[in-house]
Amino acid sequence: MKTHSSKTEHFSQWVNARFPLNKFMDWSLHEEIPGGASFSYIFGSLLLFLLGMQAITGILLMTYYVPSTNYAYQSLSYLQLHVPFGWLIYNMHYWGANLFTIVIGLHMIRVFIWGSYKKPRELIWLIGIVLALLTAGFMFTGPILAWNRITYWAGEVGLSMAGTIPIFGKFAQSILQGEGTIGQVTLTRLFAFHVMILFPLILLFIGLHLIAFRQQGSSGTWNQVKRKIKGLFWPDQILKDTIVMFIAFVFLIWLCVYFPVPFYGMADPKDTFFSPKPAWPFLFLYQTLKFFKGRLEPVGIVGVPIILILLLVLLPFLDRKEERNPRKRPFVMICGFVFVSFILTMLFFGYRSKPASTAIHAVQSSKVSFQQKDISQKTEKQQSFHSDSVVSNLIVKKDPKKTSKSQKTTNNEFETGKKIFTTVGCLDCHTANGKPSHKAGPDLILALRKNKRNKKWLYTQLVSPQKNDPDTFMPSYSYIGKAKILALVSFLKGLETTKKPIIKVISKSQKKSLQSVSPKSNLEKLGKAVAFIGDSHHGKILYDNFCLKCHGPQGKTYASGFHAPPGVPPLNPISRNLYNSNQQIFVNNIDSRLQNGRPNPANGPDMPAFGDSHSLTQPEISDIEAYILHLNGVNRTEIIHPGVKPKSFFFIVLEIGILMVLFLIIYRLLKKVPGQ
Amino acid sequence: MVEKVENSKEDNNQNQVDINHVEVEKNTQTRKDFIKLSVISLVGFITVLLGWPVIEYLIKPFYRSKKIPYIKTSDFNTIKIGIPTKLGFNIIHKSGFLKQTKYEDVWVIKHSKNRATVFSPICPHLGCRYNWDPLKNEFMCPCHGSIFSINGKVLGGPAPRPLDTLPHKIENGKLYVKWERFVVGIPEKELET
Repeated sequence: MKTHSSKTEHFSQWVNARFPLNKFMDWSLHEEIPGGASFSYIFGSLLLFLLGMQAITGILLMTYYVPSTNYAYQSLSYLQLHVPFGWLIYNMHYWGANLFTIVIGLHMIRVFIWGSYKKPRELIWLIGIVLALLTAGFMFTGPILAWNRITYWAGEVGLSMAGTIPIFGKFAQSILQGEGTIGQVTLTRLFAFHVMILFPLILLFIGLHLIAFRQQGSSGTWNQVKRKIKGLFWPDQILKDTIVMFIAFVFLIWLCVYFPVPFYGMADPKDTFFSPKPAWPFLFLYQTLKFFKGRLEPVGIVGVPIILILLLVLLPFLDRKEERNPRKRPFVMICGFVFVSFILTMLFFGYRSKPASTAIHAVQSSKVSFQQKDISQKTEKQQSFHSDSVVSNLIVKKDPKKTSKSQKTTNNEFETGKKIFTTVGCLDCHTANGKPSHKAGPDLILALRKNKRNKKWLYTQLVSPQKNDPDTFMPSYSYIGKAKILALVSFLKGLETTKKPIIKVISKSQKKSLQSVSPKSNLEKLGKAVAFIGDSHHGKILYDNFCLKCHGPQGKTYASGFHAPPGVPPLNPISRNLYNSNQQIFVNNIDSRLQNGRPNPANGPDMPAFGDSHSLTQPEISDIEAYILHLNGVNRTEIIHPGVKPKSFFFIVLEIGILMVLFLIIYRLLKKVPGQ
Repeated sequence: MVEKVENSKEDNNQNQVDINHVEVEKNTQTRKDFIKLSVISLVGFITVLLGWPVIEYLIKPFYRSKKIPYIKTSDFNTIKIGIPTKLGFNIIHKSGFLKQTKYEDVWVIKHSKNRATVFSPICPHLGCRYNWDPLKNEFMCPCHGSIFSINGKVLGGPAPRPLDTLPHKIENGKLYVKWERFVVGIPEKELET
């Protein structure tokens, strides 16, 4: 025993002669806390602990993550479903980040109430603000790296907002974004910012924060009587800090197990069913900006953050009285209360609100509504996927001689109706070229000229076709909205009088050129969609828009009140040849039908080739596939190699934790350890 | 008298203070020990319950047994008997989430229509790809000069074991090979995990 202790002493002497280890430990641990240790001082240590967890989980994520627009989402899906404990590491990074942000807020509020920013601690406060801003940087760049539907658009909004700041904005945007549109360069850069710029910076500033903090020591309580009692950082405060870290750790695992981040589906630059919103820490800003409309918008985008930051920066210089007792400085307390409740209120309304057309106007205008996307999006920037305008442009090809004349005479509604007609799926069953059709429905020019329907009949036919003819399998189009139906009606009415065919059928040569747009080798019959883990919730929205009219609500062609066209199979339950309890095989089985379509065995409408025609993007197809799996009781996001199943892992953690705490309590009682 | 009494009182007080001081010191020591134990066990708890997932996370995915299928090689029919020939095939290589088609080839020595020897093209020394030298009738590894006979025997150089044969089968005049990889640098032929 003696030799052992002398050996360690010798070693510590050896080290200390070369490195000030003891001095460093002394500096970092030995400190008096006026008024004694308290649980209200734990936030700083908790933040340090959470940052450590973020560093560990972040580095671990990097061992699997690929910062590529094609593979970022895929690599993270693989990580969560196929790597043991991948679900834990991923969710821990996510929840750790959110917790970090919340605890920063609490830390600032604590410092504010205790008046700990006052002389001589102004610099600690200022460095703290830098740390909060760096955290904001993390919270902005981090989510985009996941490259899923939600975070992609959050990034798009954020970067566009940055771009509207006068002078400096474009510069900042081009540094972060790299190129004109958000894409591969953006992702690579944001990744570099997140891990190689922000992380070293936050370490540096935490170092500065701690050095400045140790210089002044703990500010302690404001009560002059209590201040005479001196507590010690080690061991009194450290014990409280460790207890909180322990609770935070178990709490984090609980969040990861019971509230895992959902799979939002692969980022889809052509998505038109999703409204972008920033990440939650920026929602208060986003909501505040709604007060600034039109030309005031850039003023708000620059002004609001600057005012908020200035208020924080100036606080220790404006409030210079020595009094720290919050009861004796009601004015400052009220100001602080107003500030915090303003942010919380804005956060709440921002969370609840639907995207407005103010701050995100730039993005919204580039995101053309679905019904118009084929025609007007061709020149838009979002062509990084495939251009699905190819198909409809061929379909809508007009007679060039006729164009100039007809444009003068036809009204806008007719034109809009035509666009809708070519995009909502009428052409799946109908033709409009004045010749008898091989399709499930009649040729519209022939039928309308023959029958001379009035507008009311046409409207009913579109909204509830069975009212006109109880036996028809024509689906209802009420979901597209009254305005669009009215436009369709006037288009159909116009068909009666048009002399030349407006909608051309694709000729064989055109079909061939179409096929060359999407080449398919024999080796890769499956679409890219099978590699993406789709989001079944978003899949349902898409299903209701694209599939419901034939396959029925929730895939039930036999649902009461629904008239399924002949030859259309139910999807719920799906044919046993396609079903598989393994989600990947199941998806592989159904993928070719969504990609390449399928002729109808009866005289009903054919299954459209959503993938080949680019009328749905691959991420959208993956979402619909996830929904079809969901309808058949198969979970697309099931964890295949969890390591230990999430819930079991949580109970293991809980059991060991409880046993350890019990042991410590019993030890304390037996050894009669005195209180503070 | 009075002085004496006062003196004894002072002594008493002094004694009491001493006893209290010792007790306080003892108490702070037990308290310090207890806190040390608590902090170590709480931090240990976090370390173990994070360390265990981390190690599985980093290592385990690569210890899964993989089923290696037999893959058809290119024209076995047309190659000459007795001369080592490279035959190629496409395999689907899976690395993490990424599936890629990769072209691989093996050395095949055809003995008859139904018999052949298949060598992995990887030198058992340190994993270089070796070549057939038709003039010397030897396999030569360019990296460290290992030499093998047509039967795979080591004739010279640092190679620790003969060339690795691969499992194969011949059906209807077509050669199917199982693409296996072995740990290099050791005398035993051991499957790579």
